[in-house]
Amino acid sequence: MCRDSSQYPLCFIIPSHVHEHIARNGNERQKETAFRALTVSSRMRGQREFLTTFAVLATTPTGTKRRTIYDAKNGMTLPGKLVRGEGGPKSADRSVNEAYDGSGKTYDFYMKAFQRNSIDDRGMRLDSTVHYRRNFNNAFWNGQQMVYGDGDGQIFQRFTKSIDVIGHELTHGVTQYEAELVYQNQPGALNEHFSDVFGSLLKQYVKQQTAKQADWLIGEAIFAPSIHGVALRSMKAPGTAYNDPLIGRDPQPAHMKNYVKTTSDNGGVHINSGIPNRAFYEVAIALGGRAWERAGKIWYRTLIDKIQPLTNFAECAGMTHEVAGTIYGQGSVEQKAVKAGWAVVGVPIGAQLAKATGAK
Amino acid sequence: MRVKFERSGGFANVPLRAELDSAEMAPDRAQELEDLVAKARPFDQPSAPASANVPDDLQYHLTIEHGGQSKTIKVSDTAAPDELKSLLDFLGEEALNKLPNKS
Repeated sequence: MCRDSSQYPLCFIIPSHVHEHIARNGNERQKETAFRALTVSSRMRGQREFLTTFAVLATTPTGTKRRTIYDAKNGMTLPGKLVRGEGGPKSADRSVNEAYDGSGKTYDFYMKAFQRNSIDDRGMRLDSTVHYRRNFNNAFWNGQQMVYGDGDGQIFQRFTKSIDVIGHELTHGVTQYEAELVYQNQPGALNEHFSDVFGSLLKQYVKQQTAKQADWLIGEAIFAPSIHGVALRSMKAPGTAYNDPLIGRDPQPAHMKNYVKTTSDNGGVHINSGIPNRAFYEVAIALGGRAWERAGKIWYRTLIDKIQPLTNFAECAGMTHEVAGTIYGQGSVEQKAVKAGWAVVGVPIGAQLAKATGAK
Repeated sequence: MRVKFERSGGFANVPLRAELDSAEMAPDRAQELEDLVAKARPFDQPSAPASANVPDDLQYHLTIEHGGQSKTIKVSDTAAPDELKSLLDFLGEEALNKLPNKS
């Protein structure tokens, strides 16, 4: 019932006790659907603790990866035709295999790096649809599943080609379950930022790269060959990823002084994410080694434990600083690196507090 | 029929803009546009339907002038009815074909 809708509110039509009954007594698919509806509706009502007692009933055992790939066959009906399930044979269609492998690697990354059991941390099945519509220039998480277009062939190639795109989109699912960051202005740019961080870290984890070895690019290799650009975004040097006569240049700022005020793109959510992206890069480079181990852990715990729907850049900076102190100690190397990283992009830690209290 | 088309947002956020005139299109494409508009009924659509608040959703800003009527619609992709999606996909193709320096 909720399955065919991209909007959760429709799920609320059914009283939660009905979902609870289904989640206890239904088949696996019914249980999952009911549990998702309960999760979201409980959150909306601020009853998170309810879930802790109930979760065990609908949870897949830790470490169980379940992937399902569908083919929309260039149509707009979701999810489309089932073409590959968990453990199923390789397809002749590379998009199917890329979606399957990419979502599997994303699952493994979240499990190994952060002990997270899938998108919802309760073993949620990872559904993906490929070949959505014709020449469709996008990939997105619709609240329940991944959707990939083939690209138009002139600007973009297929969106499954780059694993950081897959990690980016699935992280929108994690953010939906954990932080519910509003997709507008600074909270929206942070929503984008966390997706870029964990998309990039996924790629680094798969390649077993250190922060220094990594390219810190998002959407590498999805531009058509004739486009002048290495990727869609650069966390290392925001604003430098592409410059092409056909599509213009990368509009991302790398510093708060160049923050872009706009009404398009939900208030520049894909533009101003460049600012926190570079802060994360600076922290990761300062700490060295594998970025998911320390910088990634600080950002992950911040997303899970601290971020609120309307958190802005300055608040997010303060939260990462606080979390670094909690994990590694006050005045630790890690906490100092966090402070320095945000300072590079013009978001000093404590500025918000000083301003609020009138202190210098 | 004249159409101002703008697509932004999405994972890539590479904007695509074009002004289209059915009089300048190949006859079969102009006919296809007429048919898609007849099905999508843009003049009966709300000007700004509620967004589904889906991350990385494409955003459209559309103005259609036809038969003495003019209509502007701002809509996110997942919030658009299927008939409007078909029209938006067609307009995206036409906008792409009008880009300069096309390889």
